[in-house]
Amino acid sequence: MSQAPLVSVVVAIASPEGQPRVVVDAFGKALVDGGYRCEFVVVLDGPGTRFEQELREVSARWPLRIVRLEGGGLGESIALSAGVAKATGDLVVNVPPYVQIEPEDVLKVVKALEAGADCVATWRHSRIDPWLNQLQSRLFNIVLRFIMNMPFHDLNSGTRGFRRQVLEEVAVYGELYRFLPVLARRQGFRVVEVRVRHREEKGRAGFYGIGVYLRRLLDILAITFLTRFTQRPLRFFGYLGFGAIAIGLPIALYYLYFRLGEAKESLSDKPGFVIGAILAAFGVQLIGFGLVGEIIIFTQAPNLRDFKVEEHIEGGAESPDHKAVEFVPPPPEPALPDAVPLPDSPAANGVVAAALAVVPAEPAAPPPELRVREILPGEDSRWDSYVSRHPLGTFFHRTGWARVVAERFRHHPHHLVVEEGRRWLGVLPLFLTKSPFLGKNLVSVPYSVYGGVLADDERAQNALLARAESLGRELGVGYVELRHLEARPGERPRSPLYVTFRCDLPEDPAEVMARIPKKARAEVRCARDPQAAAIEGKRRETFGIRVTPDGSVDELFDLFAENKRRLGSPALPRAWFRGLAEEFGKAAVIHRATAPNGRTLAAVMSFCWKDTVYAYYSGSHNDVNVTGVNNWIYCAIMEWAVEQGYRRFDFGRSRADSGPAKFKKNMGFTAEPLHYEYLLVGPGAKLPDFHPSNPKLDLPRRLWSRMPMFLCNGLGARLSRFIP
Amino acid sequence: MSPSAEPAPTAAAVPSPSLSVVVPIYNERENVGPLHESLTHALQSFGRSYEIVFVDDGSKDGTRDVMRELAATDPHLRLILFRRNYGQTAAMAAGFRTARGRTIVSMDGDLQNDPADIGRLVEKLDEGFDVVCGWRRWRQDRAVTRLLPSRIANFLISRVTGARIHDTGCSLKAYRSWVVRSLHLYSDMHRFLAALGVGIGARITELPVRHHARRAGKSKYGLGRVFRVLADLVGIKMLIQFAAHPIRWFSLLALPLFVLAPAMFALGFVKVHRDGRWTWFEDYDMAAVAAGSVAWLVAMNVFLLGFLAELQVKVSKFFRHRISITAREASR
Repeated sequence: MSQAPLVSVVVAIASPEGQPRVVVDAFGKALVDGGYRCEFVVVLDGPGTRFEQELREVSARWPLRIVRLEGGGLGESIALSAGVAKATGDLVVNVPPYVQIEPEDVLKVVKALEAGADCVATWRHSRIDPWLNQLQSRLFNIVLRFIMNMPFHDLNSGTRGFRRQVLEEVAVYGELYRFLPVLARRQGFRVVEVRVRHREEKGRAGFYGIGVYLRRLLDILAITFLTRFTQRPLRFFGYLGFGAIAIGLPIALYYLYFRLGEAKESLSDKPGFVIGAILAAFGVQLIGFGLVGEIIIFTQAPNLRDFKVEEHIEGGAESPDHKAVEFVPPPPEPALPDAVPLPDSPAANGVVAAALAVVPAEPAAPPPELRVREILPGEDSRWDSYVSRHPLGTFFHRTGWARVVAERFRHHPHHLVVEEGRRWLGVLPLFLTKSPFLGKNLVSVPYSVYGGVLADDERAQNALLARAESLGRELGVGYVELRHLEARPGERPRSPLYVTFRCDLPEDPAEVMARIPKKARAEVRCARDPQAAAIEGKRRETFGIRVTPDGSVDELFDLFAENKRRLGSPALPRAWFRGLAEEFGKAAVIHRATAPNGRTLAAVMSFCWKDTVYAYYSGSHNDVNVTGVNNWIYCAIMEWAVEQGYRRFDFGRSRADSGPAKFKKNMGFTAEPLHYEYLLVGPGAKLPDFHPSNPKLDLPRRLWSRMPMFLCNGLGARLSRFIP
Repeated sequence: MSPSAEPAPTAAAVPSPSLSVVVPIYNERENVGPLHESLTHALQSFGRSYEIVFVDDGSKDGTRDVMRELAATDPHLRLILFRRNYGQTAAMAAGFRTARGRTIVSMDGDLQNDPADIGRLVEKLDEGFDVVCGWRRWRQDRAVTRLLPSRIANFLISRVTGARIHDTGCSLKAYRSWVVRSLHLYSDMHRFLAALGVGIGARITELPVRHHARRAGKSKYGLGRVFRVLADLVGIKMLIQFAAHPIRWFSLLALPLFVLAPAMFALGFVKVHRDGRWTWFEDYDMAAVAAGSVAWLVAMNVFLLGFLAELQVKVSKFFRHRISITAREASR
């Protein structure tokens, strides 16, 4: 029985008609029958002496406390507060001093409190008092529901339940006790209403008078004002004050203008001037009041009872022996150029599994389900280490790339990861791209040449692809584009448009040039060597171009944009290149080629990651192709890469049979087909044909290449968002 | 770097962690689990002793049940539960009061901040700052409804308060504990924390941080907030510059009226004739005299209100309290 919750029943008696004995007996019995402990607090507010004898008699049967308010007649709000202060239970029920409702129904109130409500309003359902009272009460509640947007039907009911905290925080005074549910709700407490059966009604019959209702409405307005503006007085006074100034000042100035101007009109017959001036001055004064209020609040802030903590929980307290989940930090990335990465270090996963086995009760015998989810903020380092361990992982799978794409182009990332338990089995970077040309699609990865799924096995891969497809359907996309470099298991529609060019680098920088076919080698020699033997069509003064890895983003962008305009396609914005340089720091290198006269002829941005250098963005002046600088700068980058210890060089993708593809072949590279694959999700989706070799785009491209540079750059920056 | 370098953390063995992360949470049932996971991941790899303080601001969607489950297994996690919604500032204030670390980091509970940035903020703090504010340099929000009002508000706040911060609305900030302990937050003040920090002599800087688009749940801000921020600005300006001597601020407010009053009197009593002569006290312009009188009266009133404010500051223990806290924290 001692485990049963304690309910405190507070009864305030202000008139000699009360029947405290009957009330205590009836509710006490009902509560004990319902399995609760109860205590009673009877507050005698006024002609109380008559009841003392009666109550002493009752206190033999029930735990009972008597609070006598000195003087009396202090009103129900004060009586209620005094009663609650003496109550020991957390759950408080306030009843009138007669049996207003069926006593068993008090259990409904208590149950509602136990179910999580902070305050319970009652609704006397089939009412038994005179029809005139009912009508007035109903009208009052309808009006209140309408004005305050509160769902209560019977605020006049004298039975209410609430948690002690409610009365500690909601200040009630005057007749506001009646509005306790409304006030509590306004302050964010959970308030519910329960229906109770009406049994008896005491109190005045007949018309209450308009004054009563007016007073109650004024009460509610006052409390609204106080709760909203006492914390920030300046908000209220400031609004009013600035408003008054905004109206008054222009009026006053208007008349003053005519007084001081040519007309010299006297102000004395212009009452508008005085009114405007007073309004403006009044505004200043209001702001002054607001500021005083603000000072008071600010200096008294330590004394404000601004919040109350309900519960304080220290983590791990429930089971002190319980080991916490220890997160194993991802193994450090392999040191840059050395060590070909292992598929997925079993040792590392073993550690994770061992650490995790401590946590669940059974270490799960059957293989857990594969779960595909989006990554969370803070998992970037884990993602990156997975990518770097995976043999097919590329620079463009990294979160750094994704970050710059999300930041500068505002495409929404949906990076997926598949896990078994806590172990990651695969990742798929995805971006939702929206474009008027291509529609809505998921792309892995935008603005890059490689992307797509990285997975430990086919099961994980298929789980990722299935989720990508369903995600695509949820988002209403046309297709999911997977820019695979190598083939992945399974059959999917594939675009044969692009090829890529890669090679292994030699051990010795000197060998780089030897590997270049003869014709291209001659070009390189002319460009690099000031003493080279002249060949046909070359001018001596351009010999001896220096290539250094110290180009700036602006140089690169200018050259890149110039090239792009010549080809008739919009250039990526400058901010994109800045973003890449900021994100990758030293891993994004810009080589530039400088002529003997100091002019920068060409620039290339390359990314260095693991053992590979990706020559990625390039640009050169329109008139310098003849110098052989284009061959030379790539040759120089390869030599630089060898010196830095990199093993592989990635020349990037080109459309098969395009000019750049020929150029790369001339440099001695062989074309490798790319496996760009598509999941066609939307109705009628087909492979995209929006690329420069589409004849439909011929006219816009020619127009584009004739536009002035600033227009190209401005428009291009906007447009490139739509061409991922 | 590795957590094994530290003794196994238990609730008793970590009396005072070096880092406290305070997160106010309101109706984030879907986010709170992932948030805890990624926070734990980020903080463990950062390698300092830490605690996470989740403050539930009266959530009604079952968030607190999820939080209880998390707390049952993680001794680093501490929960403060409010029964009702008091607002973000109160939640933050409660979290700050509970936090034990010398360094306190606050962040949002909706996963738009990236826990991986905490380490960078704290390292920046170690360079000799007292407050490091996150700057969501590339915000992932809708342009008009959130970005534009926020730009305007930030511009005004940084201009008026003198805290040259691009993004006052970003919750991800790192503080030395003395800063948050000497400021009592109430009603939306968290937005001005940096500015108030400047007012008490804290060294402030900012650092670009990542910002993610919302994953789940609903955004809780709207356009109307900007107007409230504007109204608050005047008060904040006063509190920063003149809190110790409010009468100066009131004098400033009254000054235009003090200037205006004699001008109005001159207009009322002096008559300039067409031939350039001028005479006093012959033709009166009574409206101007009335306006001058009103201006004078109000100017005096405002000036005297300043006295009241001054009195209030002198009487309250506010500044003494702040000085004692600052001294105590500095000696820790």
